[in-house]
Amino acid sequence: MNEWLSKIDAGLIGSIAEAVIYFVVGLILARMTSRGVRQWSKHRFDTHQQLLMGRIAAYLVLLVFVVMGLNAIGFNLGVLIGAAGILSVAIGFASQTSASNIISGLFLVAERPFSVGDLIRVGTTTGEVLSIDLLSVKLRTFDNLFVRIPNETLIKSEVTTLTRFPIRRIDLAIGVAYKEDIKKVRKVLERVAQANPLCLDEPKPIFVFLGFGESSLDMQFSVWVKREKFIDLKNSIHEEIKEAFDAEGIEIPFPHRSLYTGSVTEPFPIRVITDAEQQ
Amino acid sequence: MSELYTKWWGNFAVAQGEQRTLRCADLYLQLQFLPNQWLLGYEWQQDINQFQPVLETAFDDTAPAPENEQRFVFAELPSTLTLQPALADRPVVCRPVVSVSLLPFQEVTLFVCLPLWVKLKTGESEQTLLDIPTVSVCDSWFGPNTREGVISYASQVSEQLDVKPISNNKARAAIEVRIQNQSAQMLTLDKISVPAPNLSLYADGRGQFWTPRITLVRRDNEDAILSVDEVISGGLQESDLILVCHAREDIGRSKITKAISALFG
Repeated sequence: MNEWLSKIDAGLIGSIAEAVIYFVVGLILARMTSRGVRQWSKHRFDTHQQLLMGRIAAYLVLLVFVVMGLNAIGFNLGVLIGAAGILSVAIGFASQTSASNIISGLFLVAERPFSVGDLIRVGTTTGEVLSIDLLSVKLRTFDNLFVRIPNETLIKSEVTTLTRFPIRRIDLAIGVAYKEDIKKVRKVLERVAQANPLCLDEPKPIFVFLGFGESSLDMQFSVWVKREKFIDLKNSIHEEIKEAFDAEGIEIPFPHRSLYTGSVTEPFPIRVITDAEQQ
Repeated sequence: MSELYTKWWGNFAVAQGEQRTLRCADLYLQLQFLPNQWLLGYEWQQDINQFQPVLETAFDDTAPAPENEQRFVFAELPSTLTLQPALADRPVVCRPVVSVSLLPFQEVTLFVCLPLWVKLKTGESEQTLLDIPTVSVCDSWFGPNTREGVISYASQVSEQLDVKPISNNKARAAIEVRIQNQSAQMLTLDKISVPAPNLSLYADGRGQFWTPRITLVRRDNEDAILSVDEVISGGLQESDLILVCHAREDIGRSKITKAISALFG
């Protein structure tokens, strides 16, 4: 023990202290550089690029200071790099999933199917992209949950970016009773769309008659909206259609069954009970 | 009792407990100056179209509250308010009832009515408290497809692309649109996009609003040039007019070259 302690002379302690200082200064400078780069790129690039540039700058600065620190302790960097080569093979085998995520992350950054701030849907999860990191993408869902999705999953699965284009379409599935006049229903729907200020005047609403359903005439009415107003329109237009149908006497049927006892059988017997009988 | 103002815009002195109402086109704006706060209420009444805007000073507290209300609180109640007419904050898409076709190498001048916006400002810094349209505007999309384009407003007035001068509507701004077809192909105008945010607003002595003239030139290739001219619509002299509101986004003398589909529908 004493022998080991005797090896730790003042010089080595000084070197370690120097390395620690390098590392701490590196950390501080990396953080400052990241902040500076993000500030500089604020009005030049989008949020995603700002984040990426800030991170790259910070890692570079930190790397330089770590190398300087190791150098101060007396590490031979050549040996270290050589060891890193052998180590990387071992790490590669041991951390296949992480490596796959890192490579997937690089593809995601290069392909840019979405960027920070976008709304995306992956499987059943829909949320706002908080960050695109080395291993995963972080989302905040509408119910304010934090979701981490591995980059590999994103590369392998279908990802829908909801905020890619400025306008979106809402497809409304509408069913009316068989007795209703389809032309009249169409006119009423068009009038509702025209009266709603959120519903885009252009592209025009689309009316599609889907067919004869089990209990109703099925149709699709599609309206366009600014993507920020998607939920607002979805709420208001359903309400307005119901009001307009009620005002025009158009029936929205619920699924129903007609019971027949066959042509040879008698109709169902019905007994009428008066109030007096009930009492 | 109410006091009627024919000049409904500009700076006005306000007193505590006062109530004012503005009716302009479909807009009904109610201003209440309460102790330490201003209560602003507004709604668009589709059935009343006020061609002659009216600002009234009323003290009737029994008036029904409009649909939308906003409250502004102050440490010290401002003594003045500014009502400023303005133009839309997005381009306005105007559509003729029947599409107009312009023959090759022809020029046409059309007069279009643009809806007005009202800005309510106060204080020395002219802080904007409200910036709302005077008509119930509908969103629209103007572009060649659903990916490229601009969110605009659809103008609800039907007879817009009328060659005859605009009638005496003081709740709208008149704009002269000169369209030159410099190509050998016919130019069909189903709709045009008027760059309202790039236009200043002027008023004449009669209270009618005017904007600078714009020129749209369709060239032989697939692009078109939009320029805001230095002359006022209707051939009016700038010296006879009052500048009511500067353009929201000033493009100055520069001309904008866009794809035909970005200017003409």
